[in-house]
Amino acid sequence: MKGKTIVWVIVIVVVLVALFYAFRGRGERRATGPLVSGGKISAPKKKKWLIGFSQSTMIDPWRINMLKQMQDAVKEHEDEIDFIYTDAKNDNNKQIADVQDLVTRGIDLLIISPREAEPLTPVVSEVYKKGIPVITLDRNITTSDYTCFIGASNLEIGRKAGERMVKELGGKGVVVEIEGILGATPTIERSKGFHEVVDKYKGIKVVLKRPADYLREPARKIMEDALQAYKKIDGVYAHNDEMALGALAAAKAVGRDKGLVIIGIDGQKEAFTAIMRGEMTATYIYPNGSKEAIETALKILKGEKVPKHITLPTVEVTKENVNQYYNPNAYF
Amino acid sequence: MKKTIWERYRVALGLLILIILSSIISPDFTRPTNIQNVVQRVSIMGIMAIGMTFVILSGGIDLSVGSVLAASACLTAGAIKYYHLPIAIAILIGLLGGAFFGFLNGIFITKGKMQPFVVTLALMTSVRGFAFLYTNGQPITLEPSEVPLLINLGLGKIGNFLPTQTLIFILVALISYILLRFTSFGRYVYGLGGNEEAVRLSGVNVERVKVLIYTLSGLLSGLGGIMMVGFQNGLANANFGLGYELSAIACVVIGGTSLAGGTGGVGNTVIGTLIIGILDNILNLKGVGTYMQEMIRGAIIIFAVYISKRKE
Repeated sequence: MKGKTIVWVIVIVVVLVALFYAFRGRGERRATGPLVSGGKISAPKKKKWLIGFSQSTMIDPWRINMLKQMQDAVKEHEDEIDFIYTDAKNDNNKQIADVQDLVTRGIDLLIISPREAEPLTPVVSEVYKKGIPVITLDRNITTSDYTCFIGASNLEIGRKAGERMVKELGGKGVVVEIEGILGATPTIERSKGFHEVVDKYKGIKVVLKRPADYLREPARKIMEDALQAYKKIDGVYAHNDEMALGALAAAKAVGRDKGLVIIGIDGQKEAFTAIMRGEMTATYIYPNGSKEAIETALKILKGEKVPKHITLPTVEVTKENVNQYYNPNAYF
Repeated sequence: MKKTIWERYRVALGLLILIILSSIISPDFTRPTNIQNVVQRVSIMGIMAIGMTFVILSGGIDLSVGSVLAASACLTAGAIKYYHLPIAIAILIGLLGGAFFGFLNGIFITKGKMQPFVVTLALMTSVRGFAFLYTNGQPITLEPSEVPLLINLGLGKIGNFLPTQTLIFILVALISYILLRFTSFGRYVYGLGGNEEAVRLSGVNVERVKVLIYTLSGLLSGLGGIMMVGFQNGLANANFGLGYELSAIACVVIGGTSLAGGTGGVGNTVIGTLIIGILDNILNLKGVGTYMQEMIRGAIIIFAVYISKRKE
């Protein structure tokens, strides 16, 4: 019994200390105006904006690069902005929590690349309605509760990839399509644009359509299985370069890469190298918009008007022009 | 078996120290909205971890919880989307589905006399496969305004203050506490983890108790899945809860329940869940980089488990 009393005393003391610190902290935060210390007025600190970035995952190179380039863009405006980011690890629940934490942190503007539209919509809406500007990057939410959406047109890329596939195959052939994350906007649009074109050609048959979540290894496995199941495969359309490279590895392993048309998206350095070697046919530079996001964020914070949608341009890269775009020092 | 106060309360003290440190290093931590956020987001994991607590106390393990969560989420959302059933019935289907998968675990373990690790590992893949098959690999999206009850389970706040998820978590914890402390079922759970043979010899139907334990774990994972559909604004996906089995086990073990079974309890698991939730929160609030976060999280888990082991 005596032991229990001691524990309770400890608990109560600890809680009191916790509360003390908690309120002390809040006091500091609320303090406005110049702080007076030792009779001297400390120099007023220049106000910096805090930008928070919620990234959906950091396991694919395109998204790691997005963050790195964003950090580079932040460095150019170091005197004006502070920057923090979170990584949702491909989990919608974690991303909801991340956004809440960024708001708790007191961000002045939110940049978010949502993992999936529906689950993130309520929390992003809530942030926007609090008066915090929101830039949605690459993927959007389902309502219009955001300040600006920045992204490339996946539909357009899909169409271009479709046209390239038709041209390379001469309007006839067996095609495998490797999809990204099911239900994600880029996946839906990259597929839709592609089919808008190739479905018009009776000679082109998309015999297999499987998701590999934009990752290389799952794509490799899908391609391995496809090569087992189909004696003849003429073309592969992968929703990103990682998966295209996975498919290439699978085809190479069984010596069926010769004459195989492989089209990817993103414009990854490794894909450029593969195009130079003639192993891949084409890719489409899919800009991540990180630089534009920081620049647009600054405009919004300074009270300038920005358009609701910013569509980033894309470029088709093939053997003819790959040397112009290959940069050995690129992260990506 | 007398325990010193330190032994009995060190996990709770660990949590308190973490709370104090967090409020010192981040003034944002103690803001009411932040506390609300944290208690809301730990709820689903906490409920799964409570189910896991029964299993681990009895000396078993359940690796299928993440898959069962996904399957129940899809069953409930699918019942509404594909079969246009009323929400309440759909929720019941999700719960029954979860319980059924748990029941299967229990039957294979007892009647088939197989290791829990192997059986639940097998169910982990099969149930996930079922979820993908049932949804055809496509996410199910429900219109939030058409399923208010479901949305409220995940996103609602009672009196604009207590998240519905947290209320459910508290209720589940209370009921489980009563089950474990004050019923013969609870005594058998502890007994199985301590000395299964002794329990059997005292005339208890060990098989039935085990089946009940795994069914309960499945039921609670199913409940978590249904809440997750609400939390994600009406979306259900067969890839929900990937890797959650390890997080649930971590919540149980960090709370101080022994993986060998027999010692620990629901209170420990609630504390373990809060420790993990607060840790994630404070690392985010301090803007710690993602790779660094992973390292710190691992280090703290080692430290926590070491502290709670030292006196044994």
